[in-house]
Amino acid sequence: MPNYKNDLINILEMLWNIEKDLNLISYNETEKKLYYIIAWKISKTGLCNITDLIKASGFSRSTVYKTIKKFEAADLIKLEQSNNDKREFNLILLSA
Amino acid sequence: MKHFIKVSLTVYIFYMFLYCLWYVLSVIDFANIRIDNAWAGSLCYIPHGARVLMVCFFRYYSLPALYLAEVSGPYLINSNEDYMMEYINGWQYGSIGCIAAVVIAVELVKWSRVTEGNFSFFKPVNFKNYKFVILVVFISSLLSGVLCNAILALVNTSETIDVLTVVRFMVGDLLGAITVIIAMWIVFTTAIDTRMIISPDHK
Repeated sequence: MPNYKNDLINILEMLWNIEKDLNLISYNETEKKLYYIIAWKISKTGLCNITDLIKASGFSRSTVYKTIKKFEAADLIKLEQSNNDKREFNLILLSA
Repeated sequence: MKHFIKVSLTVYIFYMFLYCLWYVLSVIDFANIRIDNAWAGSLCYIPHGARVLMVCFFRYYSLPALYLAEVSGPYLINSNEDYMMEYINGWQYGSIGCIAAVVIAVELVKWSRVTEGNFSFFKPVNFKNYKFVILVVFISSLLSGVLCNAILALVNTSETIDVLTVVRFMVGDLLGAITVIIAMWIVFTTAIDTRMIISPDHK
C-alpha cells in the first residue's frame, strides 16, 4: 500500500544518509546542541557558565565537561574564571 | 486516489518550482554571468532533479503530473522566447523521452538487483541509499539526451540536431540533478542543525 508520508520520509532519509556518509561535520547531535545553547545563552544574557549549560541542556555534568574539552581543543570556545564566583567558569565563544 | 492526488500536486509544484528557478537563473541571467549563448542554461538543467527524485520516490504515480509539468512549464513561463520556441515545437513528444529515460534508468537499477528482492515492475524500490539515486541520475542523463533529441529530430524535420546538442543535454541533466540533490542535502542538514526538524537518528 503506497503511503505519501513514508515516501517523503524516504527522501529525507536518503539526504540524511548523504550527511552520514560524507560526515563533513565531526560533531554529534549532543555536541551541536551544547554549542547552540552556549551561543543562545551568550546572545540572550551576555554570558554563559558551565552550570547554566548543564541546567539548560539537561545533559550530565560529565557529558558537558567532555564536550567543553573538545570545543576547547578545537579553539571554538575558551574558559574564563568568573569575577562574581571564583569557582565558576564562563564560556567564551571564539570566532573562527 | 487520495495518494495519487497528493503525489500529483507535490510533483507538479516541485517541478514547476525548479523550472522557474532554472529560468530565473539561466534565461533571465539573474546571476549576471552575461554568457552570449542562449543555450548556456541547459548546461545545468535543474528540473531533471525533479524528474529523478519524483520517479524514484513516488514511482509511477508521479508520471502524469510530471508530464503535465514538463509540457505546461515552457508554455506558461517562457513561451515568448523565440529560441526556446524552436525546442518547444514538439516538446510535448520530447518530454516523453526525458521521462521515459528516468523510468528506464529506475528499472535498470531494479533489474540489476542492486536493490533488495526480486525484480518486479510494480515492486517499490528502496532508494534510501543515495548511491542508487546517483546511479539513476547518471543513466537517465545519458538516456535523456539521446531519447529526447531523437524524438525532437523526428518531430521537427526542419531542425537539425547535432551531436554537441545531445552531449549538452546529457551534461546539463547530470549537473542539474546533482545540483538539486546537493542543494536539498544542504537545506536538510541546515534545518536539522537549526532544530527546525528533528534528525532521523532521534527516534
